Amino acid sequence: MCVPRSWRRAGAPWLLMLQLLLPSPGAPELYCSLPSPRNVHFESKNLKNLLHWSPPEGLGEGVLYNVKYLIYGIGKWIKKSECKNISRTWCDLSSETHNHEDQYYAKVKVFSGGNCSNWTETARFNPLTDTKIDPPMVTVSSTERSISIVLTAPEKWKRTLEERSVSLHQVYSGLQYNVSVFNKKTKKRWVFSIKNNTLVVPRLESNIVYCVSVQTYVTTPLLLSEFSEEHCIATLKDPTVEQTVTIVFGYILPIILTAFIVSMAGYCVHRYIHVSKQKHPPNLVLQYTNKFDETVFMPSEKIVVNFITLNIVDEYKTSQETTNLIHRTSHNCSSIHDESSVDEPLTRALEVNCLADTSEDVKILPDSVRYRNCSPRCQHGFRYALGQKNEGAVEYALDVRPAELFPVQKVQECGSTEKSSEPRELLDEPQITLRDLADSKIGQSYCPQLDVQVTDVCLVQELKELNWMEKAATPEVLLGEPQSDLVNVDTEKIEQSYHPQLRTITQSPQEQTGTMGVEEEDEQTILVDWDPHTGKLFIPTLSSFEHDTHEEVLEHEACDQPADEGLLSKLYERQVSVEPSEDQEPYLLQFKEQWGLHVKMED
Amino acid sequence: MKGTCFFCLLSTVLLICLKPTTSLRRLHLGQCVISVNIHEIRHSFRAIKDMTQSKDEHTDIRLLHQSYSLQDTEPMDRCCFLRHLLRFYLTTVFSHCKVSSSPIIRKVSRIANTFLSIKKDLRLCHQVSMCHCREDVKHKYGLIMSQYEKMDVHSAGLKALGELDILLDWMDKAD
Repeated sequence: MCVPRSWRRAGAPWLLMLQLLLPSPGAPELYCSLPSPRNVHFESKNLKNLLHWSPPEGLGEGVLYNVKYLIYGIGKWIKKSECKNISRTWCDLSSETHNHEDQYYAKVKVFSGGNCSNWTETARFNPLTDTKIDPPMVTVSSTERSISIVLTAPEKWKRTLEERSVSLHQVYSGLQYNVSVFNKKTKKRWVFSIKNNTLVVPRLESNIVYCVSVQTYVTTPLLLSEFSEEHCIATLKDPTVEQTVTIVFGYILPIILTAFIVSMAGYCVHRYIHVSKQKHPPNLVLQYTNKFDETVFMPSEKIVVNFITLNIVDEYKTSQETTNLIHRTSHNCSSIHDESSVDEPLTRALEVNCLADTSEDVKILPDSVRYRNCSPRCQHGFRYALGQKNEGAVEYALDVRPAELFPVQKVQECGSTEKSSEPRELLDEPQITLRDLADSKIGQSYCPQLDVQVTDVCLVQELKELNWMEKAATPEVLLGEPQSDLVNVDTEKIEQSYHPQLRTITQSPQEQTGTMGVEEEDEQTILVDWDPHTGKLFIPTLSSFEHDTHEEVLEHEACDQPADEGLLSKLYERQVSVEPSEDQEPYLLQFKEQWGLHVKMED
Repeated sequence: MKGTCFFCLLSTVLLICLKPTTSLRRLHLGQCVISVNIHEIRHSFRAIKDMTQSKDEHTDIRLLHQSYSLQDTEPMDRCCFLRHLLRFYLTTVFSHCKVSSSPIIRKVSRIANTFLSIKKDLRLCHQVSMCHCREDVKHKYGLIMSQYEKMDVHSAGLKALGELDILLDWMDKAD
């Protein structure tokens, strides 16, 4: 102990003598017997200094307190008038202790029922070191990547509201802040120690909640405040991210998808147009042949042309011949001409399924075909079977009504093709059925091989084969019979460009029909022989085809022959079976009425 | 568990070792700049504060009066004024303090050593003529000594020890 004890011992009697010598109003205090208040101390917060104490032991309510304070260095106790005879256990001495560079004492005494207690004195109070400071005011704002913290230091207590605010920064030069930034997501905490009032925490994640709490920190004297309440704030959403997302998903991706779809569509179209093995329709293939020095159209499919030729006979002109023809047995004349050539690119078959006398108007029939020596009662059916490689067949049909053409006297539908309509219909309305008419008409540009099959049901069946050589169209009769007058080919009318091989096969001629042929007579003078019993129409003369066109036409005549399994034979049988004579009566009448048909019955 | 304890102990030791270095305070006394570990002095003083101040019965006397404060002194005079104050404490107060409690003796000794180091720095400043002592400083110092001499050596010494915090506050605000 630095204080000399001897001095202290000497002081006590001196004070006692002083109190005895000086009678004062405080004289009753000499007899104070109440216990003193306890734990008298200053409680300071931001230099607001309050005096607190505890009631003395054994005394409850009803006691009053008096408070005095003393400024160190002055040595004079000053009564605190606001804290005289108070019942509360605290006294505000902030105003009295406002100068924080001074140091203070305070003391409290108890009064109760005229009795009192001794003074209880505090320790020396140094506001600067004994006060407690509050955390600062915290203001937090955030951006996308950072949060900025603005701190306001606590202020020194003011005696009046008008008094100028004094920040604790001015009181404590070493005032600092400990800023705690807590990342709610990662549970990480950073602590910054700053001296100024602002802090910007950079390089943060966007759209993350951060909680900030700040502690005021004074180095000397060492003062630490509590941490402030957490101020949580979320960093803003990064607009660049949103813009990026918007641009990517709103613009780039649709554009890419659209471009992709368009390019895929374009690629598909391109592939469909250019890349894929696209075949022309076989019938549209143009092929080039050296023989014509031009590109010609060669339909590839099998073309079937049906001809129904009508022979219009003038009565007056053919009376005698008709008579001659009538007494002959009815027959159909079919010419079958099969012609195949290795040289030619196309294989064509001309089948004459039904022969009728061709009228003049039917110019589709080849001009060069001469039906000579054929049975005048042949039914001529031409069927052009133009096929290549047995591919699909296209059939063309043309109905030519004789009524529109000529006043036909006798019309006989002599045959039908495989696919033709029923003979009834053919009889009813004499038709000229053309299959592949167009093909026939443009035949001049062909180099076909024509297989002309003329199936004739007549007794005389001839097969002739004509071999037409280049530019020498002289028909060569391979199986020439003595009667083979049947073929007379007008070679003059055959184009030089044609190189058909024409074969006319005459098979076992039973009767000679060629004698009855009408040779190159007037086309309109044709006799028709009609057999009502059999429903057959006998055409006395084959049509002589006179055409201006240069169609290649082959002449074929082949009478009925068992070996000749042409279609006409079948058709002929069908006619017999299907159409009995009774059923054909109306048709005959119809022919008579409408067509002026004269029927001469055979004797 | 042992590893954890060892780690905690090591951390504590490191903190203690680092604490004085981190609490160094630079004082700008005019042109003289020194580093003072005020925190350590305060820490030591807190241990002897209650004892010294409670036994100071001369509450009417304040040696380090506010009007003499360091911060109110001219900056160029602060070095000289602080140097005189430290010399006063070291030569007069600490040497005449008769303390029976050994813990308090240790605290007073620590404070004395710190003062000694500060005084050495100030002496260096004085040698390079950065610590001029003018009449004002001498006058203030004379006033303080006159107050001190009013009392007997023991109570004056006790009062001077109790007013160490005032000196520390001055030093804090002198920056």
